[in-house]
Amino acid sequence: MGTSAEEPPSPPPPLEWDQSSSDGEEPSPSTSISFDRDRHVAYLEMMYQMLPSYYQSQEINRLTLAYFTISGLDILGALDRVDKDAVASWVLSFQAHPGDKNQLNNGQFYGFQGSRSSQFPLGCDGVLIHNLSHLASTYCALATLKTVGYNLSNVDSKSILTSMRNLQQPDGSFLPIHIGAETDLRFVYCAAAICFMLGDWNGMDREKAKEYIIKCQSYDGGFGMVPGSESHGGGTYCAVASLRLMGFMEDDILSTSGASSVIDLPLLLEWCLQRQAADGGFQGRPNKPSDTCYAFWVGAVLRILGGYKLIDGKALREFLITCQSKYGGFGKFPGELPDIYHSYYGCTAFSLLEEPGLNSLSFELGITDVAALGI
Amino acid sequence: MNLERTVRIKNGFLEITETKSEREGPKASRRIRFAATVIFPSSSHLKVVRALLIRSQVSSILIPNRARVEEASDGLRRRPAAGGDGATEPETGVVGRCSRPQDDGPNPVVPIAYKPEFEEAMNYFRAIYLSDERSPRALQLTHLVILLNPGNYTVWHFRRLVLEALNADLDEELDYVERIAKKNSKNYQIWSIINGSCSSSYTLLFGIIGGGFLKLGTYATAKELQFTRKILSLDAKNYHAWSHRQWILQALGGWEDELDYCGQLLKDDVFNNSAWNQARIMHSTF
Repeated sequence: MGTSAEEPPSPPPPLEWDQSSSDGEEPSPSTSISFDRDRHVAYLEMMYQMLPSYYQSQEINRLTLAYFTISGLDILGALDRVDKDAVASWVLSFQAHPGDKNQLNNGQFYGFQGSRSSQFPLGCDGVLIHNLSHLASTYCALATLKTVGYNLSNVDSKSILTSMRNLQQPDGSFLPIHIGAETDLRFVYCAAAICFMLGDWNGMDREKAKEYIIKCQSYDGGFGMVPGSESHGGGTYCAVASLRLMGFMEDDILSTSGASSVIDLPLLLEWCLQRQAADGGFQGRPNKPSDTCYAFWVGAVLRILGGYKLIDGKALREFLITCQSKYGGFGKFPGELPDIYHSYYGCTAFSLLEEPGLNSLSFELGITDVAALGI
Repeated sequence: MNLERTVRIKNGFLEITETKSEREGPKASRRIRFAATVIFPSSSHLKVVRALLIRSQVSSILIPNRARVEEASDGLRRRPAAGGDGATEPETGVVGRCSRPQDDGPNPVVPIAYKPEFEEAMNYFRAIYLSDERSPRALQLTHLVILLNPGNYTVWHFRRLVLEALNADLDEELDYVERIAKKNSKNYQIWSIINGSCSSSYTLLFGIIGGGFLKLGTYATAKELQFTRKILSLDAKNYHAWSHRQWILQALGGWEDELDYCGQLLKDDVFNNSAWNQARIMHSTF
């Protein structure tokens, strides 16, 4: 356990999220002017018990939904609502185990599958034929296990880390799943967070990953998801958090005079600060509307760099309050109905703002400090 | 007795032609058409799919009674993989492999209140995926599951395998993907927002065709660029569409008209940062 609060990895941010309720109800803003902790606890607890049917379209991401719910309750100091042993055994049931050591070189990734829709029974001889392990699901699984206090040394890390190398590409980026998909910064982040949580960097080539990250920094200082892409709040978070986790960026680097950096720091700082809009909220890209979740994605970057004090915290808080729902949770925009994703990031945003009664976060890992330390 | 099946996606319809020929008697041909563009499956849509699943062979139409179906499903129910108890292969009979219920393991967390149609479709999908059936009915089933859960990379992956096995017309499949993407562009689900894998089903599709795609040359480029253009006409800042567009241009060229396109978009909205980024990339590339 380090003396400085190691930032836990955060889950890969979606590029967009728009989960609106199907029942056509008129959204109405919360009448509260303060952070409605009890209502958020009630909302998350309800999700923990049962997600409404419109979440069935997110079935494939079920482990991620679990992570949002459980880590959210942890931040709110309400983890007592959760059956920790039940959660641990449920999460572990998603792990894909190789039949024998030789299989670790067959090109597949043996991590965690994200849902029962991507998990199939073993074949004859108990061999796993259908392996749809996914990096993001693995990140969410480990983050959730840490949150409920499960000792990760009981997890088969060797299989995860050895096979994870199969997903890294020559340019340093990562595939999320061996059957093929796009590679981008989100999965570099997941890989770094997984190695960090398992305490073993054999799962990836850090140097190559760093080179890829550097290529993603755009002309305006932010980071795109792939080299050449528009700089983006989520991409920027993945880049900076990964560099920090991998040990390529010092803590609180802006406060250290003469500190050298592998990326253009002043330009990055300026990009981040410019993401706070006139309404007080944070946007993900220039000229996009402010969205609850970027208060975390961009805010956490500023926290990591040591520049959070430069934002207008009061204005941000006021904006976030308008996104707070009277039903508990947060919506994407002011007055919108809540969804689990924005509710989680609304809570993390308030933790960054040091709202009393909320647990502090490990900015790079995306779980509470306590969870990250593994007490 | 010979049974021949062909599947085509034509004019927005999924067309399955079954031809049966017997040694004595005339050839009997039956064509079934399905609308491939339904967004939400109605219960009647599901009934049709159910009928398809039951009628696996023209020569012997099995309409199992409910009790037999349930009995067969029970036989197929397996404990979760975590214990590694070596489940045996499912039966290959028509009724036996119809349905495979979800087993959520011990103490499920964040259970989703699945609607009955969703559960039923997923149960069928599990069965067909496990028996690795790459048939016309499997293709139709993937369509149904995609409508319900467009971000599900398992089903897109399986769909691709089925398309290959059926030697389907990939050009028409592009049209299909385009329709699904357009209907989901606001939700971004087609872009599998959280996990990113298969984040563009379209990209996955071109990952499939790979070399075949490149062989199509200019035509394929125009079609792909056209596709991103259509998405961008609905949402001019769609992040995935822009990334995909860059990837196509970098792989196959075609940058000549791109600056004009960016200019056009900026005329519509001078604050479109995505268009500015694209123009800037061109500037530094050339």
